[in-house]
Amino acid sequence: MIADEIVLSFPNITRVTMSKVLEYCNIHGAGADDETRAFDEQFVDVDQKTLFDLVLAAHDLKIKMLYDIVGERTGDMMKGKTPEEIRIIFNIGENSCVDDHPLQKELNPWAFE
Amino acid sequence: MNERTWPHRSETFHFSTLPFPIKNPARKHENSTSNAIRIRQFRSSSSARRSDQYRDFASLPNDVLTKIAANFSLPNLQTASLVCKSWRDGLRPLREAMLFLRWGKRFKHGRGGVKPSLEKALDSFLKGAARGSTLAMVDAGLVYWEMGKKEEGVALYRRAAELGDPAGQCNLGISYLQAEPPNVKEAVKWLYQASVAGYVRGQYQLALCLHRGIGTDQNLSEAARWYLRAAGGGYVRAMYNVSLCYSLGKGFMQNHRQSRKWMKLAADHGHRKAQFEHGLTLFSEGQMMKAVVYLELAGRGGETAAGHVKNVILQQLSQPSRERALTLADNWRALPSSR
Repeated sequence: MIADEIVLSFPNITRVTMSKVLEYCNIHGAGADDETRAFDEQFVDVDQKTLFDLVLAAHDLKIKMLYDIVGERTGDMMKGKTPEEIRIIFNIGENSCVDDHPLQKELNPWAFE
Repeated sequence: MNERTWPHRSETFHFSTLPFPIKNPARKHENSTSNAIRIRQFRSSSSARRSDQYRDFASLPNDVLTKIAANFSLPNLQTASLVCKSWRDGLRPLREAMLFLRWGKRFKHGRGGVKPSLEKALDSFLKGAARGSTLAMVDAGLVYWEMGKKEEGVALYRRAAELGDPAGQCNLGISYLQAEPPNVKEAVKWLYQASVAGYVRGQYQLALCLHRGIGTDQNLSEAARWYLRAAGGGYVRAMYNVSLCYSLGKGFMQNHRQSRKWMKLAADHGHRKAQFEHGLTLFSEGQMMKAVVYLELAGRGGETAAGHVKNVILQQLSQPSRERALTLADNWRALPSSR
Protein backbone atom coordinates (compact mmCIF):
# COMPACT_ATOMS: atom_id res chain seq x y z
CA MET A 1 0.00 0.00 0.00
CA ILE A 2 1.32 3.43 -0.82
CA ALA A 3 1.18 5.73 2.15
CA ASP A 4 -0.49 9.06 1.43
CA GLU A 5 1.43 12.13 2.32
CA ILE A 6 0.43 14.28 5.19
CA VAL A 7 1.96 17.66 5.81
CA LEU A 8 2.38 18.54 9.44
CA SER A 9 3.25 21.95 10.68
CA PHE A 10 5.13 22.64 13.90
CA PRO A 11 6.02 26.30 14.08
CA ASN A 12 7.49 25.90 17.56
CA ILE A 13 9.80 22.96 16.92
CA THR A 14 12.95 22.98 14.82
CA ARG A 15 13.73 20.33 12.23
CA VAL A 16 16.65 19.12 14.26
CA THR A 17 14.60 18.76 17.42
CA MET A 18 11.75 17.02 15.62
CA SER A 19 14.19 14.55 14.09
CA LYS A 20 15.41 13.65 17.54
CA VAL A 21 11.86 13.30 18.85
CA LEU A 22 10.97 10.96 16.00
CA GLU A 23 14.15 8.98 16.56
CA TYR A 24 13.12 8.50 20.19
CA CYS A 25 9.57 7.48 19.29
CA ASN A 26 10.72 4.96 16.72
CA ILE A 27 13.16 3.29 19.07
CA HIS A 28 10.55 3.14 21.83
CA GLY A 29 7.70 2.05 19.60
CA ALA A 30 8.02 -1.55 20.65
CA GLY A 31 8.43 -1.01 24.37
CA ALA A 32 11.28 -0.82 26.83
CA ASP A 33 14.18 -3.19 27.20
CA ASP A 34 17.91 -3.09 27.83
CA GLU A 35 18.66 -1.62 24.40
CA THR A 36 16.19 1.21 24.77
CA ARG A 37 17.65 1.94 28.18
CA ALA A 38 21.11 2.19 26.67
CA PHE A 39 19.69 4.36 23.88
CA ASP A 40 18.05 6.67 26.42
CA GLU A 41 21.31 7.20 28.27
CA GLN A 42 23.16 8.44 25.25
CA PHE A 43 20.07 10.21 23.90
CA VAL A 44 19.91 12.61 26.83
CA ASP A 45 23.64 13.21 26.87
CA VAL A 46 23.36 16.42 24.85
CA ASP A 47 24.20 20.10 25.19
CA GLN A 48 21.88 22.33 27.18
CA LYS A 49 20.44 24.00 24.10
CA THR A 50 19.35 20.69 22.60
CA LEU A 51 18.07 19.50 25.95
CA PHE A 52 15.98 22.64 26.36
CA ASP A 53 14.42 22.16 22.92
CA LEU A 54 13.68 18.52 23.71
CA VAL A 55 12.07 19.38 27.04
CA LEU A 56 9.72 21.85 25.40
CA ALA A 57 8.97 19.60 22.44
CA ALA A 58 8.19 16.61 24.65
CA HIS A 59 6.04 18.81 26.87
CA ASP A 60 4.09 20.30 23.97
CA LEU A 61 3.70 17.04 22.08
CA LYS A 62 2.71 15.32 25.33
CA ILE A 63 5.11 12.41 24.86
CA LYS A 64 5.21 11.22 28.44
CA MET A 65 8.20 8.90 28.36
CA LEU A 66 10.40 11.35 26.51
CA TYR A 67 9.25 14.15 28.81
CA ASP A 68 10.14 12.00 31.80
CA ILE A 69 13.68 11.22 30.71
CA VAL A 70 14.64 14.69 29.55
CA GLY A 71 13.03 16.16 32.66
CA GLU A 72 14.96 13.72 34.82
CA ARG A 73 18.18 14.54 33.02
CA THR A 74 17.63 18.27 33.52
CA GLY A 75 16.90 17.71 37.20
CA ASP A 76 20.00 15.57 37.64
CA MET A 77 22.12 18.29 36.08
CA MET A 78 20.84 20.73 38.70
CA LYS A 79 21.29 18.58 41.79
CA GLY A 80 24.24 19.20 44.05
CA LYS A 81 25.34 22.39 42.28
CA THR A 82 25.61 26.00 43.30
CA PRO A 83 23.33 28.59 41.65
CA GLU A 84 26.30 29.95 39.71
CA GLU A 85 27.23 26.51 38.41
CA ILE A 86 23.65 25.97 37.28
CA ARG A 87 23.66 29.31 35.47
CA ILE A 88 26.82 28.30 33.64
CA ILE A 89 25.56 24.83 32.71
CA PHE A 90 22.24 26.12 31.45
CA ASN A 91 23.58 29.35 30.02
CA ILE A 92 21.26 31.54 32.07
CA GLY A 93 22.02 35.21 31.75
CA GLU A 94 23.32 37.56 34.42
CA ASN A 95 20.35 39.89 34.09
CA SER A 96 17.94 37.26 35.35
CA CYS A 97 19.90 36.54 38.51
CA VAL A 98 18.37 36.64 41.94
CA ASP A 99 19.73 38.30 45.05
CA ASP A 100 20.06 36.00 48.04
CA HIS A 101 18.44 38.35 50.52
CA PRO A 102 14.96 38.86 49.07
CA LEU A 103 14.51 35.12 48.87
CA GLN A 104 15.55 34.55 52.47
CA LYS A 105 13.27 37.30 53.70
CA GLU A 106 10.37 36.04 51.69
CA LEU A 107 10.17 32.77 53.53
CA ASN A 108 10.18 32.02 57.19
CA PRO A 109 13.77 31.69 58.32
CA TRP A 110 13.14 28.53 60.25
CA ALA A 111 12.20 26.78 57.04
CA PHE A 112 15.73 27.15 55.80
CA GLU A 113 17.67 25.86 58.79
CA MET B 1 8.20 -20.78 33.89
CA ASN B 2 8.01 -17.36 32.36
CA GLU B 3 10.28 -17.37 29.35
CA ARG B 4 10.24 -13.63 28.75
CA THR B 5 13.52 -11.78 28.90
CA TRP B 6 13.62 -9.18 31.56
CA PRO B 7 12.65 -6.35 31.56
CA HIS B 8 9.42 -7.02 29.67
CA ARG B 9 8.30 -5.50 26.40
CA SER B 10 5.02 -3.77 26.99
CA GLU B 11 2.05 -4.27 24.78
CA THR B 12 1.12 -0.66 24.11
CA PHE B 13 2.79 2.38 22.67
CA HIS B 14 4.14 4.70 25.26
CA PHE B 15 3.34 7.95 23.54
CA SER B 16 -0.06 9.46 22.87
CA THR B 17 -1.27 10.62 19.52
CA LEU B 18 -0.26 14.13 18.59
CA PRO B 19 -2.78 16.98 18.56
CA PHE B 20 -1.19 18.78 15.64
CA PRO B 21 -2.97 20.49 12.76
CA ILE B 22 -3.39 18.09 9.81
CA LYS B 23 -3.38 19.86 6.45
CA ASN B 24 -5.29 17.14 4.57
CA PRO B 25 -7.79 15.69 7.00
CA ALA B 26 -9.73 13.89 4.28
CA ARG B 27 -6.86 11.55 3.50
CA LYS B 28 -6.00 8.66 5.77
CA HIS B 29 -2.43 7.94 6.64
CA GLU B 30 -1.81 4.24 6.20
CA ASN B 31 0.83 2.59 8.25
CA SER B 32 3.46 0.52 6.58
CA THR B 33 4.10 -2.95 7.91
CA SER B 34 6.49 -1.77 10.60
CA ASN B 35 5.43 0.22 13.63
CA ALA B 36 7.77 3.09 12.85
CA ILE B 37 6.24 6.47 12.24
CA ARG B 38 6.67 7.52 8.63
CA ILE B 39 6.05 11.15 7.97
CA ARG B 40 6.98 12.05 4.43
CA GLN B 41 7.58 15.66 5.00
CA PHE B 42 7.03 18.23 7.61
CA ARG B 43 7.52 21.92 7.56
CA SER B 44 9.04 23.64 10.47
CA SER B 45 10.45 27.06 10.97
CA SER B 46 14.21 26.71 10.83
CA SER B 47 14.65 29.40 13.40
CA ALA B 48 11.76 28.08 15.46
CA ARG B 49 11.10 30.41 18.31
CA ARG B 50 7.97 30.43 20.32
CA SER B 51 7.69 34.19 20.25
CA ASP B 52 9.99 37.08 19.44
CA GLN B 53 12.09 36.83 22.58
CA TYR B 54 15.01 34.42 22.89
CA ARG B 55 14.06 31.38 24.92
CA ASP B 56 16.41 29.53 27.18
CA PHE B 57 16.26 27.56 30.40
CA ALA B 58 15.38 30.71 32.32
CA SER B 59 12.07 30.74 30.49
CA LEU B 60 10.95 27.21 31.27
CA PRO B 61 7.19 27.12 31.79
CA ASN B 62 6.20 26.77 35.45
CA ASP B 63 4.62 23.37 35.07
CA VAL B 64 7.81 22.06 33.48
CA LEU B 65 9.86 23.54 36.28
CA THR B 66 7.57 21.97 38.88
CA LYS B 67 7.89 18.60 37.24
CA ILE B 68 11.67 18.77 37.03
CA ALA B 69 12.05 19.83 40.66
CA ALA B 70 9.26 17.63 42.02
CA ASN B 71 11.62 15.22 43.78
CA PHE B 72 14.20 17.80 44.88
CA SER B 73 15.28 17.91 48.48
CA LEU B 74 15.13 21.27 50.21
CA PRO B 75 18.79 22.22 49.58
CA ASN B 76 18.49 21.56 45.85
CA LEU B 77 15.21 23.46 45.74
CA GLN B 78 16.78 26.41 47.51
CA THR B 79 19.67 26.42 45.07
CA ALA B 80 17.40 26.25 42.05
CA SER B 81 15.33 29.11 43.45
CA LEU B 82 18.44 31.28 43.52
CA VAL B 83 19.37 30.73 39.89
CA CYS B 84 17.13 33.32 38.30
CA LYS B 85 13.98 35.33 38.99
CA SER B 86 11.70 33.22 36.84
CA TRP B 87 12.79 30.02 38.57
CA ARG B 88 12.40 31.67 41.95
CA ASP B 89 8.84 32.59 41.08
CA GLY B 90 8.03 29.34 39.35
CA LEU B 91 9.31 27.23 42.24
CA ARG B 92 7.29 29.03 44.90
CA PRO B 93 4.64 26.28 45.18
CA LEU B 94 7.35 23.68 45.76
CA ARG B 95 8.96 25.81 48.44
CA GLU B 96 5.58 26.08 50.12
CA ALA B 97 5.32 22.32 49.84
CA MET B 98 8.56 22.03 51.79
CA LEU B 99 7.06 24.02 54.65
CA PHE B 100 4.08 21.69 54.75
CA LEU B 101 6.44 18.73 54.61
CA ARG B 102 8.31 20.04 57.61
CA TRP B 103 5.09 20.55 59.57
CA GLY B 104 3.88 17.13 58.57
CA LYS B 105 7.00 15.52 60.02
CA ARG B 106 6.59 17.48 63.23
CA PHE B 107 3.02 16.30 63.61
CA LYS B 108 3.93 12.76 62.77
CA HIS B 109 6.73 12.44 65.30
CA GLY B 110 5.55 15.00 67.85
CA ARG B 111 8.63 17.19 67.49
CA GLY B 112 9.17 20.88 68.10
CA GLY B 113 6.74 21.11 70.97
CA VAL B 114 3.89 19.74 68.90
CA LYS B 115 1.57 16.95 70.00
CA PRO B 116 1.82 13.95 67.69
CA SER B 117 -1.19 13.65 65.40
CA LEU B 118 -1.38 11.41 62.37
CA GLU B 119 -4.40 13.28 61.04
CA LYS B 120 -2.66 16.64 61.15
CA ALA B 121 0.47 15.09 59.70
CA LEU B 122 -1.53 13.68 56.81
CA ASP B 123 -3.23 16.99 56.24
CA SER B 124 0.11 18.77 56.00
CA PHE B 125 1.65 16.14 53.76
CA LEU B 126 -1.35 16.27 51.43
CA LYS B 127 -1.00 20.04 51.15
CA GLY B 128 2.63 19.53 50.22
CA ALA B 129 1.68 16.86 47.72
CA ALA B 130 -0.89 19.17 46.14
CA ARG B 131 1.90 21.66 45.48
CA GLY B 132 3.88 19.07 43.60
CA SER B 133 6.46 17.72 46.05
CA THR B 134 7.09 13.99 45.67
CA LEU B 135 8.67 13.92 49.11
CA ALA B 136 5.35 15.02 50.56
CA MET B 137 3.51 12.49 48.39
CA VAL B 138 5.61 9.64 49.74
CA ASP B 139 5.17 10.77 53.34
CA ALA B 140 1.43 11.11 52.84
CA GLY B 141 1.39 7.63 51.36
CA LEU B 142 3.22 6.27 54.39
CA VAL B 143 0.68 7.81 56.76
CA TYR B 144 -2.23 6.44 54.76
CA TRP B 145 -0.57 3.05 54.88
CA GLU B 146 -0.16 3.32 58.66
CA MET B 147 -3.82 4.22 58.95
CA GLY B 148 -4.73 1.12 56.98
CA LYS B 149 -5.86 3.10 53.94
CA LYS B 150 -3.67 1.17 51.55
CA GLU B 151 -5.37 2.17 48.31
CA GLU B 152 -4.94 5.87 49.03
CA GLY B 153 -1.34 5.20 50.05
CA VAL B 154 -0.57 3.35 46.86
CA ALA B 155 -2.15 6.10 44.76
CA LEU B 156 0.23 8.61 46.29
CA TYR B 157 3.23 6.34 45.87
CA ARG B 158 2.24 6.01 42.24
CA ARG B 159 2.13 9.76 41.72
CA ALA B 160 5.56 10.13 43.27
CA ALA B 161 6.92 7.16 41.34
CA GLU B 162 5.78 8.55 38.02
CA LEU B 163 7.52 11.81 38.83
CA GLY B 164 10.74 9.89 39.25
CA ASP B 165 10.97 9.70 43.03
CA PRO B 166 13.01 6.60 43.95
CA ALA B 167 11.40 6.22 47.40
CA GLY B 168 7.98 6.39 45.77
CA GLN B 169 9.06 3.83 43.18
CA CYS B 170 10.42 1.49 45.84
CA ASN B 171 7.34 1.80 48.06
CA LEU B 172 5.07 1.28 45.07
CA GLY B 173 6.99 -1.85 44.12
CA ILE B 174 6.75 -3.22 47.64
CA SER B 175 3.02 -2.42 47.75
CA TYR B 176 2.53 -4.47 44.62
CA LEU B 177 4.42 -7.36 46.21
CA GLN B 178 2.21 -7.18 49.29
CA ALA B 179 -1.04 -6.70 47.42
CA GLU B 180 -3.72 -9.38 47.36
CA PRO B 181 -3.22 -10.77 44.86
CA PRO B 182 0.36 -9.58 44.33
CA ASN B 183 1.22 -7.89 41.05
CA VAL B 184 4.77 -9.10 40.77
CA LYS B 185 5.54 -7.82 37.28
CA GLU B 186 4.64 -4.25 38.19
CA ALA B 187 6.52 -4.67 41.44
CA VAL B 188 9.74 -5.62 39.71
CA LYS B 189 9.36 -2.86 37.13
CA TRP B 190 9.19 -0.20 39.84
CA LEU B 191 11.81 -1.77 42.06
CA TYR B 192 14.15 -1.77 39.10
CA GLN B 193 13.61 1.93 38.54
CA ALA B 194 14.29 2.69 42.17
CA SER B 195 17.38 0.49 42.02
CA VAL B 196 19.00 2.14 39.04
CA ALA B 197 18.37 5.46 40.74
CA GLY B 198 20.53 4.18 43.57
CA TYR B 199 17.81 3.62 46.17
CA VAL B 200 19.30 1.08 48.51
CA ARG B 201 16.16 -0.50 49.90
CA GLY B 202 14.83 -0.90 46.37
CA GLN B 203 18.06 -2.62 45.34
CA TYR B 204 17.70 -5.12 48.17
CA GLN B 205 14.07 -5.86 47.33
CA LEU B 206 14.90 -6.22 43.66
CA ALA B 207 17.68 -8.62 44.55
CA LEU B 208 15.20 -10.69 46.56
CA CYS B 209 12.88 -10.89 43.56
CA LEU B 210 15.71 -11.97 41.28
CA HIS B 211 16.86 -14.45 43.88
CA ARG B 212 13.46 -16.09 44.24
CA GLY B 213 12.32 -15.67 40.66
CA ILE B 214 9.42 -13.44 41.66
CA GLY B 215 8.05 -11.27 38.86
CA THR B 216 11.03 -12.17 36.74
CA ASP B 217 13.23 -15.13 35.88
CA GLN B 218 15.45 -16.29 38.67
CA ASN B 219 18.92 -14.85 38.14
CA LEU B 220 21.36 -15.50 40.96
CA SER B 221 24.26 -13.51 39.59
CA GLU B 222 22.05 -10.44 39.01
CA ALA B 223 20.60 -10.92 42.48
CA ALA B 224 24.07 -11.12 44.00
CA ARG B 225 25.13 -8.02 42.10
CA TRP B 226 22.18 -6.05 43.48
CA TYR B 227 22.72 -7.39 47.01
CA LEU B 228 26.29 -6.15 46.73
CA ARG B 229 25.22 -2.70 45.58
CA ALA B 230 22.69 -2.42 48.40
CA ALA B 231 25.28 -3.68 50.86
CA GLY B 232 27.79 -1.13 49.63
CA GLY B 233 25.10 1.48 50.12
CA GLY B 234 24.77 0.51 53.77
CA TYR B 235 21.78 -1.85 53.76
CA VAL B 236 22.50 -4.32 56.53
CA ARG B 237 20.33 -7.24 55.44
CA ALA B 238 22.02 -7.04 52.06
CA MET B 239 25.42 -7.34 53.73
CA TYR B 240 24.28 -10.57 55.36
CA ASN B 241 22.96 -11.94 52.06
CA VAL B 242 26.16 -11.00 50.24
CA SER B 243 28.06 -13.00 52.80
CA LEU B 244 25.84 -16.03 52.17
CA CYS B 245 26.22 -15.67 48.42
CA TYR B 246 29.99 -15.79 48.76
CA SER B 247 29.95 -18.60 51.27
CA LEU B 248 27.60 -20.81 49.26
CA GLY B 249 28.92 -19.80 45.84
CA LYS B 250 25.48 -18.55 44.79
CA GLY B 251 25.65 -15.73 42.25
CA PHE B 252 29.29 -15.23 43.12
CA MET B 253 32.26 -17.55 42.97
CA GLN B 254 32.68 -19.08 46.40
CA ASN B 255 35.02 -16.90 48.42
CA HIS B 256 35.38 -17.44 52.13
CA ARG B 257 37.46 -14.36 52.72
CA GLN B 258 34.78 -12.12 51.19
CA SER B 259 32.08 -14.05 52.99
CA ARG B 260 33.79 -13.46 56.33
CA LYS B 261 34.34 -9.79 55.56
CA TRP B 262 30.67 -9.18 54.80
CA MET B 263 29.43 -11.27 57.72
CA LYS B 264 31.57 -9.21 60.10
CA LEU B 265 30.29 -5.99 58.51
CA ALA B 266 26.71 -7.10 58.93
CA ALA B 267 27.44 -8.11 62.52
CA ASP B 268 29.08 -4.78 63.29
CA HIS B 269 25.99 -3.05 61.94
CA GLY B 270 23.81 -4.97 64.34
CA HIS B 271 22.46 -7.88 62.29
CA ARG B 272 21.81 -10.48 64.96
CA LYS B 273 22.07 -13.56 62.74
CA ALA B 274 25.34 -12.20 61.38
CA GLN B 275 26.53 -11.64 64.94
CA PHE B 276 25.73 -15.26 65.69
CA GLU B 277 27.46 -16.55 62.56
CA HIS B 278 30.48 -14.37 63.06
CA GLY B 279 30.67 -15.40 66.69
CA LEU B 280 30.74 -19.05 65.63
CA THR B 281 33.45 -18.31 63.09
CA LEU B 282 35.57 -16.61 65.70
CA PHE B 283 35.01 -19.53 68.07
CA SER B 284 36.19 -21.99 65.42
CA GLU B 285 39.30 -19.86 64.96
CA GLY B 286 40.04 -19.88 68.66
CA GLN B 287 39.32 -16.17 69.25
CA MET B 288 37.30 -16.82 72.39
CA MET B 289 36.97 -13.33 73.77
CA LYS B 290 35.70 -11.81 70.55
CA ALA B 291 33.47 -14.80 69.91
CA VAL B 292 31.77 -14.39 73.26
CA VAL B 293 31.11 -10.71 72.67
CA TYR B 294 29.41 -11.34 69.33
CA LEU B 295 27.43 -14.28 70.68
CA GLU B 296 26.31 -12.21 73.64
CA LEU B 297 25.16 -9.46 71.27
CA ALA B 298 23.36 -12.01 69.14
CA GLY B 299 21.60 -13.37 72.20
CA ARG B 300 20.55 -9.90 73.30
CA GLY B 301 19.18 -9.32 69.81
CA GLY B 302 17.01 -12.40 70.08
CA GLU B 303 19.11 -15.22 68.64
CA THR B 304 18.31 -17.83 71.30
CA ALA B 305 20.63 -20.40 69.74
CA ALA B 306 23.58 -18.14 70.49
CA GLY B 307 23.21 -18.63 74.22
CA HIS B 308 24.22 -22.28 74.22
CA VAL B 309 27.53 -21.83 72.41
CA LYS B 310 28.22 -18.67 74.38
CA ASN B 311 27.89 -20.53 77.68
CA VAL B 312 30.21 -23.26 76.49
CA ILE B 313 32.89 -20.69 75.78
CA LEU B 314 32.26 -18.70 78.96
CA GLN B 315 33.06 -21.81 80.99
CA GLN B 316 36.50 -21.87 79.40
CA LEU B 317 37.24 -18.29 80.31
CA SER B 318 38.56 -16.93 83.61
CA GLN B 319 36.28 -14.71 85.69
CA PRO B 320 38.04 -11.44 84.74
CA SER B 321 37.82 -12.42 81.07
CA ARG B 322 34.12 -13.15 81.40
CA GLU B 323 33.51 -9.77 82.96
CA ARG B 324 35.59 -8.06 80.34
CA ALA B 325 33.60 -9.75 77.57
CA LEU B 326 30.29 -8.63 79.05
CA THR B 327 31.58 -5.09 79.49
CA LEU B 328 32.61 -5.04 75.84
CA ALA B 329 29.13 -6.18 74.87
CA ASP B 330 27.56 -3.51 77.06
CA ASN B 331 29.67 -0.79 75.49
CA TRP B 332 29.18 -1.96 71.93
CA ARG B 333 27.34 0.32 69.51
CA ALA B 334 26.13 -0.63 66.05
CA LEU B 335 27.70 1.16 63.10
CA PRO B 336 25.33 3.60 61.38
CA SER B 337 23.55 2.13 58.38
CA SER B 338 20.91 2.89 55.79
CA ARG B 339 18.94 0.00 57.26
